[in-house]
Amino acid sequence: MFELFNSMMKEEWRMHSSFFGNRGFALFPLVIAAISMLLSLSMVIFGKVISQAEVLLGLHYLLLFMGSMVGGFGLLGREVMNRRFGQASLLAYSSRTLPISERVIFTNFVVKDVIYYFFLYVLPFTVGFVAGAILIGLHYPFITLLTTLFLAFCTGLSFVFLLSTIYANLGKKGLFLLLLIPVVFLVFFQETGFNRLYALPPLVLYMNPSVEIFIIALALVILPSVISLIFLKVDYPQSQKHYRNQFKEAVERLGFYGYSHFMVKDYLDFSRSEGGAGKIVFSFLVPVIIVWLFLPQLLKVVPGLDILVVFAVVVGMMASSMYNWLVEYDMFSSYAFLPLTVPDVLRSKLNSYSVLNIVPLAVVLMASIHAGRLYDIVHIVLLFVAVSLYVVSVTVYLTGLNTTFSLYSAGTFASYVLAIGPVALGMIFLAQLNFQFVFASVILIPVAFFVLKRSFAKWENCEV
Amino acid sequence: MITVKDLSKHFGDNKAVDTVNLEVRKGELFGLLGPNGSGKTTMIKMLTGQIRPTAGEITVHGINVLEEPLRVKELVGIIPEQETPPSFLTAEEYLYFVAKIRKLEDFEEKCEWWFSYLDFAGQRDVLCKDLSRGTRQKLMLAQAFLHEPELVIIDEPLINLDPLMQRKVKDFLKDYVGKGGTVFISTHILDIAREICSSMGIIYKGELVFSGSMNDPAIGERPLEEFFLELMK
Repeated sequence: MFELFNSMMKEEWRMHSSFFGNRGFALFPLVIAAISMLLSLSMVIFGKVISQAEVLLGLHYLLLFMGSMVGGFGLLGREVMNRRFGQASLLAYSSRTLPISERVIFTNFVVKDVIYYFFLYVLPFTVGFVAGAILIGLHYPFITLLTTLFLAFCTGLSFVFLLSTIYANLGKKGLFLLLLIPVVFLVFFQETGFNRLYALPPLVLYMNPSVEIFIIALALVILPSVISLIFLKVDYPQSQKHYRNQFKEAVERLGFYGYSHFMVKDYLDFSRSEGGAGKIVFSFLVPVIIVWLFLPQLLKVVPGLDILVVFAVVVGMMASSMYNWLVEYDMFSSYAFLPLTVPDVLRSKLNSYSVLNIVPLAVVLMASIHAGRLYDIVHIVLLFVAVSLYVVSVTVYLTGLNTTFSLYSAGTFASYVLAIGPVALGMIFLAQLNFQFVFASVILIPVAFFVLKRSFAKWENCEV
Repeated sequence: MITVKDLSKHFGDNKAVDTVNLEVRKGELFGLLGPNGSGKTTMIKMLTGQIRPTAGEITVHGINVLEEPLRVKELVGIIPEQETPPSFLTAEEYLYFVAKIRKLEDFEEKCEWWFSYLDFAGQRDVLCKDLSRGTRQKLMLAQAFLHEPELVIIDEPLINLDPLMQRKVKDFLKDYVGKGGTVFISTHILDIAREICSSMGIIYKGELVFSGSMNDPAIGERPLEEFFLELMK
């Protein structure tokens, strides 16, 4: 039992460190600590409009979200992992070849995730946040905060495991149930107000500690996991779905376009992989809507900042996540024996990225119309296009076709933040000086093309 | 068709391929034999421009591979060791995709011929990720011959195929060479080499320890296995 746990821990570490070296990955917790420290230092400014209760609310929900993301990777990441390592090579699949039950494996898997990500995310995040707070004269009880944030993280993780079990057992009905839950939540909160969000047990435990609430918070972690374990159904996909040849039809339609075959392939990858078009909704549109709803509150702290400008910059940055989807299912080894170079594949991905940018562009246009700023549309669209292009060029330069894993490298992630952060802030503050200065963002376009040119040269020499 | 001079590939201290000299003439079915980890796949990756050698020269089809790797990939059919067609295309869509990359016209009939010859028409509309290893290998064979190349380089051509399919592929390769094509295969299965190859090279720990005809006097009447094991000593 302990051997399996021990091996899973090693496997997780080696899987991550194989992509960016032991040192690069070992430094990742330091990056997390630095980011959370910056977050707490920013309270010097944001503390004027955000109460401590709201800060704690944000922290606990952030960790809840991180836990859900870690758990979600077990579901949505399966295809990526299969693609990169082959299904049978992960210990999580070893019940097929070794005399170990799926329940034992799953239990080890959950415990491994909890401990591994405690050290990777939760601990450095809390250390960074508390240290930053001390520097600005705020005091948070470290052990209490670490405990409640850890519980919030585990709650997210545990609930996603439960949802995955529901999905595995009920299939499409389960999916319907999953979609129904947020709708019910929205209706519920609309009637009772967002104060209900403060009822999250780990947060209540921090604010009003008691044995009862500790038991409830713990139960929220343990119960979903136990239920998942009881109804565990590990699905090794054996079914062979049949699809009609959509490739031929679509390529013929787009025959005028040189990269049509790549674009159609990207579209088919996207639509046939787990999540399908839902990926746009959950990983792009929902966060964008949240940003749109919360921006006015956050910007109260810096009077004069143009919400639409900030929104266009943020959406431009978020749009680059679409590049990540496009490269998620491809490895260059699938093309290495064909008359193609890495830059050819990168160019094809950038073409598809340009087309996908219609979605965020539409969002920016709608936001401009909603804000009654029709006369500023040209400025805002230009800003969005320039930022989106610049951010994706930096992403391509730093990560090539391996974005998902490369950004876990401390060095790469730090370079990414340093290359994008100052530019994004610069654009926002330039617009604050004079809205017409938004046109200066046009400079980012040739810069982006230059970075892309350098990227192609850089990745051309990489070997598979 | 293939000329290799003083070819080496080092990964740190590991000499995966060390000062190999080799020549494969047009119309040959050449087998590169060697135990697991002897350097066969590294050789193939260098011959096809997928990785750059540490030292040496490679000419394929009269083209310097180091200078024009893309041109070599255009002319040659290549089947890599691991069959990795993109996951979310069906088998048929993948062949169409390869045909588009190779800018082929009138390829649909050829696809049909391969579906029929290798008996996987029933799997044509199944996603590549759901195909069995054997079917993926059939698919990779089909994509390598789709542009009717004069030279095909195959890493372990029969390893995932059942005996019936192995027979068909062997017959196809012999027929292809009979019509003037050239085939370079790597394998660790000696029987395959004995049955279909006209010449061979044996690589061991990165060094080419034998190169010559299957009728070379050094082999004589001995079983190939005996000769192979003797060289490994």
